[in-house]
Amino acid sequence: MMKLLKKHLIKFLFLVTFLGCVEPIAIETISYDNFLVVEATITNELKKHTIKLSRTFEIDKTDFNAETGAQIIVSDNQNNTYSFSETLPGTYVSDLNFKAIPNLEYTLKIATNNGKVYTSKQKLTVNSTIEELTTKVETSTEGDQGVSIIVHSFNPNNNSNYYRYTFEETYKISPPFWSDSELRVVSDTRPYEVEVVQRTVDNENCYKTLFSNQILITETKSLSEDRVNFPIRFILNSDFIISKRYSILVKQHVLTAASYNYYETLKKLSGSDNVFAQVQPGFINGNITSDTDVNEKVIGFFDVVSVAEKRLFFNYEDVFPNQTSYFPSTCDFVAPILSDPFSGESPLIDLIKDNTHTYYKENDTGQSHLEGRYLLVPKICGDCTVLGSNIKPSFWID
Amino acid sequence: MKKCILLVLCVFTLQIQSQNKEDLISISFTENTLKEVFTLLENKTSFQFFYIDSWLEDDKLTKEFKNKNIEFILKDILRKTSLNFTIIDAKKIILTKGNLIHKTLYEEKNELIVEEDLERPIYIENVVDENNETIIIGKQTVGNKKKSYTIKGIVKNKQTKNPVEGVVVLERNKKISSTTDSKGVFSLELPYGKNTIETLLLGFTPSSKNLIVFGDGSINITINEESEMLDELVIKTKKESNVKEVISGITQINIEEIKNIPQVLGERDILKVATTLPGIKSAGEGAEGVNVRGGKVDQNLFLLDESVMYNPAHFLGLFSAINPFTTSDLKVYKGNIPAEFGGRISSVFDIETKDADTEKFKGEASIGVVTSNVSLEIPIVKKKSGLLVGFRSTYSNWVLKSLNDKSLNNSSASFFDVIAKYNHQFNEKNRLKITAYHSNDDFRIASDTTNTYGNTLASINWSHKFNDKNHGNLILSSSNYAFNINYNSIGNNNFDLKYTINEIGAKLKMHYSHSKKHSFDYGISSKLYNVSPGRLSPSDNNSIITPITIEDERGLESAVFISDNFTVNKKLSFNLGLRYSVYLGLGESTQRYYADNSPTTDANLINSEQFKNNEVYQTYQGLEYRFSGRYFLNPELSLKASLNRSFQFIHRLSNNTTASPTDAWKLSDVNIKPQEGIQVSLGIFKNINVNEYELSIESYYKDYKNVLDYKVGAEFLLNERIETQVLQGPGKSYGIEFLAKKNVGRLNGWIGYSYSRSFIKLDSPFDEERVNNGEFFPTNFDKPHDFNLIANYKLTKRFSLSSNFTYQTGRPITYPTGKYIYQGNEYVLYSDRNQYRIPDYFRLDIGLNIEGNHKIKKFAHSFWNISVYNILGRNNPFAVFFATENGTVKAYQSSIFSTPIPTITYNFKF
Repeated sequence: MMKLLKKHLIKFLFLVTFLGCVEPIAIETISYDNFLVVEATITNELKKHTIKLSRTFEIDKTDFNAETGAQIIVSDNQNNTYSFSETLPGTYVSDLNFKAIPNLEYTLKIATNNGKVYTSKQKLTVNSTIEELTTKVETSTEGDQGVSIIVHSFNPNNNSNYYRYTFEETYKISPPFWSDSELRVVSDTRPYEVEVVQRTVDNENCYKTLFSNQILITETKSLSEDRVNFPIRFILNSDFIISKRYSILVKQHVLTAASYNYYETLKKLSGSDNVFAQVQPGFINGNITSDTDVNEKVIGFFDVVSVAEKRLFFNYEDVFPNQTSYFPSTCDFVAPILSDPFSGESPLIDLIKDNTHTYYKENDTGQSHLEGRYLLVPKICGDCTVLGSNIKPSFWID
Repeated sequence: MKKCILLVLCVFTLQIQSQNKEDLISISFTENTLKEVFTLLENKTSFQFFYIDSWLEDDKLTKEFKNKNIEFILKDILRKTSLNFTIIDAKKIILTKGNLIHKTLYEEKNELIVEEDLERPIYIENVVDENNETIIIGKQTVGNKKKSYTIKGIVKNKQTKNPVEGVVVLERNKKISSTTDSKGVFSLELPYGKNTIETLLLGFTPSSKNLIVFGDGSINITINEESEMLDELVIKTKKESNVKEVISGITQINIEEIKNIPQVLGERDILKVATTLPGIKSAGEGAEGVNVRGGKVDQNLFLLDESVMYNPAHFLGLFSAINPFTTSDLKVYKGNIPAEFGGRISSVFDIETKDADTEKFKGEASIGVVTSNVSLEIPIVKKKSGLLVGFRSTYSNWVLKSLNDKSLNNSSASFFDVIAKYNHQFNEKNRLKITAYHSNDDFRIASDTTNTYGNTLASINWSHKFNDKNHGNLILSSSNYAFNINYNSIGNNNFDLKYTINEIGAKLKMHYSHSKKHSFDYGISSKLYNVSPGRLSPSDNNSIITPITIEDERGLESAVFISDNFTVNKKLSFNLGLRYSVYLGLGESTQRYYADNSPTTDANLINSEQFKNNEVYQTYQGLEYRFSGRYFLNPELSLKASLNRSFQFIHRLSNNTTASPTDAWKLSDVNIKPQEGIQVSLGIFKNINVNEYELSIESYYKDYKNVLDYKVGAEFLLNERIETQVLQGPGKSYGIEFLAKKNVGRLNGWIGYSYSRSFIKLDSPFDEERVNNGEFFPTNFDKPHDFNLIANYKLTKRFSLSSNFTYQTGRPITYPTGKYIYQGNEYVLYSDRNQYRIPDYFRLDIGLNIEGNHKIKKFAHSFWNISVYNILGRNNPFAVFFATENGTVKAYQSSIFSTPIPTITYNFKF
């Protein structure tokens, strides 16, 4: 709804200017502010935690500007310190596994290699659980059918209130024209020869995992009870990712009010159909400050959050019974002949060598344009590794 | 008129010399009237006399002539009368009253210039203004003329019939003036010929009279007390009011004065003209509203015949919603707001509609490329009541459709406004005025979204005169502003979004002329607000939009006020006003209370309380003072100072760039406090050459409390917790304004310049409520330099050229100063709020006015206006904005008129 309104406000703005013009202008960096960007979320999961440091970059550039060579330490008020080491430029991973404990105050200290020190202090937020994840068939604002994945959670203590969600979604890829056999070239000189052999690589079923990158937040403060029914993901029924079996792991982070507000503001300033003119732009104050210069601006929010997670599996037919799923590519058969009597070459072997197609089965179609003995399909239609990894994730349940 | 025709006649007849002219006549009269004399002469000679009986006085004449020619005889008998004569066609003698018929317009070519000047025929123009009667003093004679004559007279109060002291009687163009003594007597040395004298005295309606001076003479003038203002004359006085007006920082614009200013799309726009005066700034080309002395757009009270107009703009501010034909004048109080007005802390725009003529049917119309306008004055009961109606509309739909841009082909934009005013004079003591107004704007954008907005106003103003010292007005007014967004597309999410604010008010305003030194204005006023801040509903059966209704708001704003116009002596006077305002937030309402010492966010909501219908949930009150004074250093130089304080209980929620018609107004509640403004100003005012030139320098300093601004990321639409989106903080603005005006002459106009600053501070212990480190920063409308030049040059009687040049510092803007990646997404980094500015604004407009011919007999007075807006084709940025498209940030600059816009408008009056 708000999106719609925003959309129309864009048009509105354009109408304002119909008599003159709206022209794209080169964004000159009239002034470039070089600020430190900190992504630091410590959770109550026992793991090696990751903190990312970068710097702002000029508006007309696209490079990620990693902040390297910094020293990061997270400590609690019981004298436990956890040091971090840089594994990739700008990515710092804790040397040890640890988890945040309730009621302790955690201090983040960052010393950058230009000699500046930044600090932030936070306590672990309260625990919460995800009751369940459900699916619901819905219609999008554009009128298309799809499935909504809804997070349900309830906190009878009514004290968690602010939630941020991240998810990892994994989907199974089973090509429609897979065969357990493949063609092997026996002789690529005349007389040409190929043979059908057992596949060496398992490419019948693959999996792919994607991570959420949107800010997904909700709050229950304004509700009478701390109960969440939050649609976290909407997938169109034509989306390939749910065409077989789909799984989503939802993580629920309990935020502080300040942190929630930070994410909310960030989200407002960067909606996908954003008209900045409608939202007051400005610098968003985080909770990390510079020890050396109080007025120095630091981007980012240090969160120490409790995390709850839940996984959901479903098959396409569970949600959309009696509907056919969609495959992202057309799968036209080809059946090149082994030896071309005119040119003397082998279209079949050429195609095998091109590695664009894969074997499906013996040609039994009888169609005149499919002359060869073997039917081949585009690789994407018969080899799942084109779209994913053939290693089955450990959590996967079929 | 008849005289003029006679004049034309003579041109053809003068060459023929009379043969009989020199014939000698002997004749004697005994106790004969002039009429008898002429009859006798006709009988005795072959001369024929032409005259009007009523010119002839009844005095008896006894005289004897022997062997005298006709000229000698006539000169002798007419010596003591105001009659002149001319002999044409040898036998015809034409008598005229006062005027001497000139035999030729070129007759005296060879004479000395001075002589010619004295002999110059005096054309008496057809005077449109019935209040300006033409009076002839003395009679025209050939030769022996003095350069000036003494005109004496007495000025009396029309009501009391007593002589009035201290009235300035002046002939403005010739810079001759005199002041009446204690017996109301004045004496002026006026040159031969046509003169216009005006009377000026504070508290009295100025009057003017056209005099044709042929000799010494006297004239008696009666003047009206100001309570019975005559519309057309108000204007003229205000020229002197530059130095005289006690209330400082008042600007008056008369619609007639702005006729020559180049127009935007052919519209004569009184509010646009206001923005050319120092201290009043347009929010931007294509933006709504004005910023007065560093105040926000919502801090101006627009009153149309005492009703509040919430949105005085059409078409996103390109046109003002005020019909120029039906408007008589606009007063802008930017310094000291009189105590009778309240509720806004920056200024009052007091727009007054004309009273319809009660005797003659009149009309005015204009036809332009984009808009047309017609107004009619219809007498209902002769000399008692009349109805004024005005209608204005646009055909910009046509303009939009003719544009090449395909995306705009499905768009439409139109507006109209209609006004009616009825005025009825029951008797000398009672008068009623009723005004009704409605405006409507309609936009359809890319065929799926329609925006509609409009004002509906009504007011009834009854004035009653109790006695010579007391009169009063009872005013009932109502105003409604609404906007509506309708989304209608093929999907299932069509919706209607409505916003409405409504107020009804009553005001009793009394005037008491206590003495020469004191006159009091006092009264009470009250208004009830009803706001429906948002109603979202599905617009058809297929729509799956969930209806949302934001709770209505109610508030009652009341005040008592008194002000004393205190004249200490001729040099020093004060206007001392007090106003006590009370605002009551009324239920039915839910008020939310947030934890102390914590930011106002949903997180800190402690408690929501329900209030019943009309239950008072919050009271705000305070004493407002409005003091101003004026001191004459000399009659043409004055000093003015003022100090005042005001409250504002209602706030406009605008997005960050400019005001738009979909801005909602919000009433003060338990969380949003009233705004408060204190202003101190000092000015020096100088008139030169009996008001030919006006100069002024004014400076001010303003201090604000609780000015509304917005948190980063603030959104208002359908947000019921506005308090979590806004911030309130102190503000300050200061500036110095220069204005030089030339009021008369072939070249006239003005130059205005102001240097002004405007700041706000949003500090808080909490990061999210602190902007720019909690220090003062420039507001969105802080535009330090503002220069305007308006010049009119009269080429001939029919042609005049005008031009308008504007320069303004660019508006502050929050600019992106970088990007960063956070959790896998790219975000824009913004500078401090309003740290940068968009490029400076400048524009030159040129206009040519062509008056219709000056034939006497014609159906209507007409003129053409041809103007070119933005003749330099300057691409003035209206806004710079940023949008994320496909993951990358793009910047856009928009401008409204990036090329010269020529327009032509035909206006006529009948």
